[in-house]
Amino acid sequence: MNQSTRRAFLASSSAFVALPFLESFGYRRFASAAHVTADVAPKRMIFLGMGYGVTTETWYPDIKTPGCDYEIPESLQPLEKHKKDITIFQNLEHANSRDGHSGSTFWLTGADRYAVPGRSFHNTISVDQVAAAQFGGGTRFTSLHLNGGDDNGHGPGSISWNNQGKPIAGMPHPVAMYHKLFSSDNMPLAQRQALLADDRSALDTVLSDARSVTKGLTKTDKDKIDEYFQSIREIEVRIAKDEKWLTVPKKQPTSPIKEPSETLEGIPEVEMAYDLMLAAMQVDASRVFTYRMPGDSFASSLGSSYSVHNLSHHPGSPERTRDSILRDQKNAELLAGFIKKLKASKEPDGSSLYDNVTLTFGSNLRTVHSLNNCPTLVTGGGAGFQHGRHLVMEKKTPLCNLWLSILQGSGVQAKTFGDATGVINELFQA
Amino acid sequence: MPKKHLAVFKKYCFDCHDAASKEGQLDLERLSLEVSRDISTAEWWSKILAALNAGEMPPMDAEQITDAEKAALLQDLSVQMVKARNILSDSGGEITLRRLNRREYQNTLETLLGFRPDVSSLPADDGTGGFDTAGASLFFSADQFEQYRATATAALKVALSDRKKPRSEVRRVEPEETHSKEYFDREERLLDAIKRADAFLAQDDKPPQEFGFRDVAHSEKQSQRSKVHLKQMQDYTRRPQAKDGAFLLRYEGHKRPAISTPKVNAAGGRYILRIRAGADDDSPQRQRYLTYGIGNPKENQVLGQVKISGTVAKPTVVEIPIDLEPGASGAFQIQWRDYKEQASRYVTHRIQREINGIGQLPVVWVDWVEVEGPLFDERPTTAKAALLPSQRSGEDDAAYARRLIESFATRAFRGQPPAGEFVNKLVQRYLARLEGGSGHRDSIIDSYALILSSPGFLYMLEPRGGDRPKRLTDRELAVRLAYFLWSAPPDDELYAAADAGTLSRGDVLRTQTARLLKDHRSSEFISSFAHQWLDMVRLDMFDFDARFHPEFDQVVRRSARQEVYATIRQVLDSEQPLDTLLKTDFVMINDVLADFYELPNVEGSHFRKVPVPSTSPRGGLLGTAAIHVMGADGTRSVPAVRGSWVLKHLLHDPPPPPPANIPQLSRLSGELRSGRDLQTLHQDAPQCAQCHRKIDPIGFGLENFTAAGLWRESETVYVESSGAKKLKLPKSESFEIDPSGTLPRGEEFSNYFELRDAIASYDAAFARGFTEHLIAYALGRPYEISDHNLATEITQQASKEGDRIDAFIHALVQSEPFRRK
Repeated sequence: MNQSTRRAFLASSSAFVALPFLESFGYRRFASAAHVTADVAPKRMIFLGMGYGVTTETWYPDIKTPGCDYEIPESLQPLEKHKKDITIFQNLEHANSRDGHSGSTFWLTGADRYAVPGRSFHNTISVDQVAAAQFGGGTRFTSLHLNGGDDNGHGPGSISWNNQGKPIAGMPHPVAMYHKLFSSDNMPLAQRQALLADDRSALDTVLSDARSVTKGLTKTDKDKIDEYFQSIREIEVRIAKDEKWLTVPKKQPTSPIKEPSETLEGIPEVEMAYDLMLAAMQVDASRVFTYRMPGDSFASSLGSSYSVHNLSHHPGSPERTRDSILRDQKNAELLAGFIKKLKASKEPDGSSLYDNVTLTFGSNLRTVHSLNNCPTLVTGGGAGFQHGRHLVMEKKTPLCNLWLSILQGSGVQAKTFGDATGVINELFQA
Repeated sequence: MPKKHLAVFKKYCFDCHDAASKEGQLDLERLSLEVSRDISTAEWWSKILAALNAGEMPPMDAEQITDAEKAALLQDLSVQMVKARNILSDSGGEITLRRLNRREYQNTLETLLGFRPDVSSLPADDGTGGFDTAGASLFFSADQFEQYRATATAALKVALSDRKKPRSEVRRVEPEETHSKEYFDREERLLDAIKRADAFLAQDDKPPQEFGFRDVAHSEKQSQRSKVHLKQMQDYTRRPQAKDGAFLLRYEGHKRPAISTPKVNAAGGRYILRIRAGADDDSPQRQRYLTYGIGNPKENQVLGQVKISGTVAKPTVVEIPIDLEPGASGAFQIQWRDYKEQASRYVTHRIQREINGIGQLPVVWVDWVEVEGPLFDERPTTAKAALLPSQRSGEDDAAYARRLIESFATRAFRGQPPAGEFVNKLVQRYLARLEGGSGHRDSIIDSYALILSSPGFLYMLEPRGGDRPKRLTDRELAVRLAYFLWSAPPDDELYAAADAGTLSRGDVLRTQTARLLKDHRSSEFISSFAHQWLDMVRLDMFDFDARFHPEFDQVVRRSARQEVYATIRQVLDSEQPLDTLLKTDFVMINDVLADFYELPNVEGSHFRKVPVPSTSPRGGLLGTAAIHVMGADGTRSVPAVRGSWVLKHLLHDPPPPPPANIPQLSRLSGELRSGRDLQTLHQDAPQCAQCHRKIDPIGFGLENFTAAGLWRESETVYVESSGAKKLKLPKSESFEIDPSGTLPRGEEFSNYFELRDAIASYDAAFARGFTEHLIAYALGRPYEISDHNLATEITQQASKEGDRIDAFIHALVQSEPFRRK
């Protein structure tokens, strides 16, 4: 095979693989999942981004043991009893990622920050927002985002990016999420309606300025100011939704959550975040969640005196390596607790939350600045994945293939996502 | 480009750079051979030319282009590049409409409202790479609209507050009553724990809970820990001065109590902080500092540090004036100077304990702290009067609101009157609010906040009214100039020049530029530009390990940053040539850095010029601690990082960014090797050696600087062994430093001083790099190939004026691209 034919073959082969798979058993199910009827529990997604990544030497299973028969590695020890419920990946990466300090910025998007010439930053929609566009219509909150970390290790902006590639600010602390979800609003309905109407009028006012200043601008400038118009439109949509839900009282979960303390930091903060996500799913307040997890405060509540950046630079330092492993293990332990609660929480149709959710834990980074073999752990039955395996992918498999698999497996009508070359077939095969 | 070269690319380059692979995004199959086709095409060819010239491509392990082929290719490409630059310099360089970045937003609000508001809830705008003035990268999102509105509302509430100004008063704190008490109480609790444990262990009847313990092990552990910590408490409380004042100390490795003053008033204003204090006679100079901050004892924003010149026997009074913005909260907090890292506090304490059996001993003693204030200047009052003029007699609410809104919006929109419809809507909102029972103040705040969240305020509008580039109007020029040099709106004088129609005259523009540069507000330009130009974000990136670098704490880190800014300021103000930054006979330091660099006779925390002999490694950017700290990982120096910093910022020869997923140097950890040895081994891999043979030698020439930027004659390397937390210095070995090497142009150097001289001879390259960055910062877009001629003109013009920093700025401001939209 000469060079050019080999290339042509490689270029087409990815699309080739996906087709028979879709037709054989996947596509029918995906198509029907889009029409969720009342008695079928809805699909949900959770993405937990840890920023500065895991301890490479102890987090991944032995690469020579792909499949079911592998040993849970040291860093993931607390997940031993959930071995059948999780999938650990190797060799997933974003081909476009080059920034070794960004664990979250491009994690859920796969975008190339330099894709637009003359711009030092560019991003595209994140996978959670693709799902939210389809899943979010029927719930009070289209999607919910927690931002417990600073830029340190997560990178600039956010973990979630809207369809314009603009960052979505997350709630800074679980206490804010608690109030959003469960605080009862004592304000009379008429007054709340008036407030929303006032917000609308405020938007209408600034729009009149926006329209007048657009005159005489060049095409590029108009494109730029269009960001402003789009932002205002987005808020209008949000207000319309708020109005619709005004008369619907907030549901409380069967075992109500107490208002968390604002002083929660690190480990208890993450635990509370998981509990709130669980409760939000129980009352179906939202179906899509992302979490930019706390870093330094998490390490510090573990008793480590190092910042997560320095923990990430652990090779050569036994102390930092030890603390980095402790961090991994604590994360695994909290995750195990979350899985247990997801399993125990029953949906009206008799299934459990675990059966209907797809939860991904990971980062764009692992030890030091490495951007390949992104640490990725998936659990939950929402996308129809067959768990219990250590999936060693071909080197340089796009992480977006996993995002696409989650989307399609959960019934989101997405033909492709980011630089995906197809879905990960193994996930759907026993 | 002649088509014949395509065959060369096909033969040597297509393996990686064809349409299918597109490595580094470069697709040579589709790249137009017409170099001047557009800016992006020309940029690609420029990169290809540079890579071929430098021998970076094809990579070492691939088949090399023959000399004949390469020569022909380079010949044609260079000619085409020159042509392309000339063609594109007219067409390119469109400046995208830009939003005020967070710094500019804060400064602009300060100008309008008369105080400096808190903007920390807005995104920082500096995380996107490039300069934070680059319009195309300054995006806008729905969340941001809400953040702007909330920030503006909060700021306006403070600015228009009608709370009475508090009277100034003097309040004194005797810290023996508050601060020292913590140590006496702690001592008592520790003694109690020991007593309870002894009592419990001496009997068998009662359960441990009765003594306050979970079990035997718990009681033993508590008793043992208490005995250890008790020594530090007893050392404190036995000192007679503990009953007359208080020592500043970190105890048990992590507790760091502060002496707190009474709370400050939310109205802000000027306070005078007086502290009567003394330092231990035998203590090292660098430990005789205290820091003062605002906030609460646990979390406060450090405002500065002061060195204590008195002794414990003969304390002296230091007086510190502090200006607080309205909205300030908390109290002044006084602490001993401190490390950033928790780990460093801990290890210094434990190392001391190994030595003296007690732990960290106090150095600074405080007799009392006095706070006087707040005192007010007229600034906020005038600003408030302009924001809220009174209602005229006979003026109805609608007319009054309209007058206020039009006046404020015109100021906020930098002289552009707001559109009628916008004003109408704001007036309607105002009236609706009044009717709904809101007061005048709250109603106008709502309107003002919307003005400060609307595009007329947030975007620097320069409407062209057509497709062709045009000259800026005088007012637009004033705005562009002020935001370039102040990151703030023009002042009255600059607007006056614009309104007189003279600002666009070369001589007036020059006079105004010079005036703006002399004004203190230009410090915003120096710090923001230098921070981004020199990639100084790295200065804060790494924690330092106090076992190896006990001298490097947060106070040094902060001063080291200031040193770089102060040095640039000095060169600018004294009209010295730009290359003074490469090598000079002075340093700009304060007392902190004088103690750090061990330079004598510097008193006071202000930065001043101190001469250094030519035998000193200090003087110029390469002599600053900041640059070396940025080229280290908190433990060791990293020659590759330092080398590439010098190439990028001083020699204007930036190495390509490292590929993703670089193999780690740590594969060799556990072995004692010198930095040079370690780095050289890294060159094993041919794909690394390609660039590193150019980068690393420069870093080797800087190996006489420790990770903290201190001078060393030999390199001490430590290896941490596995096992429990090590509190003594780990195993180490000393290596002789071999600082010799060669620069890219071939200059050989045998030590740091020769390297510094050689780098100083690259003054032209340095000036070019500085100019290109200045263009990008000032025009608010990345430097482009079409700016090539502009950069050349600027450097030529500056060279006629002795390469003074202000000459570069004048040349840029006078240039057509700066004055065009």
